[in-house]
Amino acid sequence: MITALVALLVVFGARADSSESPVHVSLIVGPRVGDVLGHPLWFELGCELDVLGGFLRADGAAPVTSPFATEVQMDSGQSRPEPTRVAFTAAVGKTWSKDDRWLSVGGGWSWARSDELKTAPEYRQVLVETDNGLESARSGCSAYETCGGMGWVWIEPKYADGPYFFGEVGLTNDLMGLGFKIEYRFAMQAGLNLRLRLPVF
Amino acid sequence: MSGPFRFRALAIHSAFVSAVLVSGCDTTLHYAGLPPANAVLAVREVRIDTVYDTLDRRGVRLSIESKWAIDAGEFGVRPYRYGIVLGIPSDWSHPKSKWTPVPMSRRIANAVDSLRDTLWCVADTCHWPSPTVHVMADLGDEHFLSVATAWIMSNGRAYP
Repeated sequence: MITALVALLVVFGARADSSESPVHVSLIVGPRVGDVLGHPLWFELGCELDVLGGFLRADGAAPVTSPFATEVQMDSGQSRPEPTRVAFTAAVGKTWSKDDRWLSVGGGWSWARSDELKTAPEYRQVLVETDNGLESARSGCSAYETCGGMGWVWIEPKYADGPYFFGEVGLTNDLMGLGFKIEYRFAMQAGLNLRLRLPVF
Repeated sequence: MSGPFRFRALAIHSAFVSAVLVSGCDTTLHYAGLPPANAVLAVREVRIDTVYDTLDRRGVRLSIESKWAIDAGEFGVRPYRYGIVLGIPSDWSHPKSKWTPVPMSRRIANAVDSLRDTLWCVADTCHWPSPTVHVMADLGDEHFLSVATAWIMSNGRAYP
């Protein structure tokens, strides 16, 4: 079944418009619904390289996850560890176009890194050093004065790879395009793609 | 607007506002990194004796020897310090004891090691409530997280 699909894609892919540049690079940006390795997906910025009218594709994307994700306050002088969230895919596909409309389908493999931001409260004693020696840092807190707690924040790397399938319909002119894409990349995702497609050579 | 709908809208709005306020009121300040693991610390020896200074004034000499063990992996990640907290009397009628030298923290050079501290109290009467020794992870800005605590002894009080 898969072999037949690949054979079909090869046949149709090889028939890409001969007047078109064989290699294109696209900058893609758009809102998304779904999740990336458990993180709600909101937006994606990506770059796609396609060969022979989209027959071979490779893309890298930076998924933007929920802005309501855990927000942590850092102590002065500390900077929050930034979790890495990237996704790469390599795929074969076929594009049918009529006038300014097109339809693409295909499949391949995807790799992603989507780090977890972990936090833990700290209950152990904090000491501060003054000219008089060490003393408890919380000695100034009372029932009438709120003392903030202390915690730790770190990233836990999370990697995954798996099959990738996509289908996209859209409208385009020479450079710009707008597509609606449904894809399976660890989970079902859907979104709009605003695409700037430029010929490489 | 019907009554039940208005009530539901008000409830949802209140829940949202409460959630925002609660999340906004979190005063926890975070440090970057994994929490440091606990270390092991034991007081090996405590000696208290009477000494005289060059002006022939009597004083109390406190000598403490402690031994610690910090996980080798943790030790490579962040600096650690060792320090003594002799405590301040909560009773205003007891004067705060002045120790010489002032018990300041010191950088730990080895994950497993021991150290002896000798302090001299110059007050007429020396008090050291809740005396403890600590192995501490350095948080920066003169702040330290105690990852191991050992009691030196029960509350101390000595008259020279």
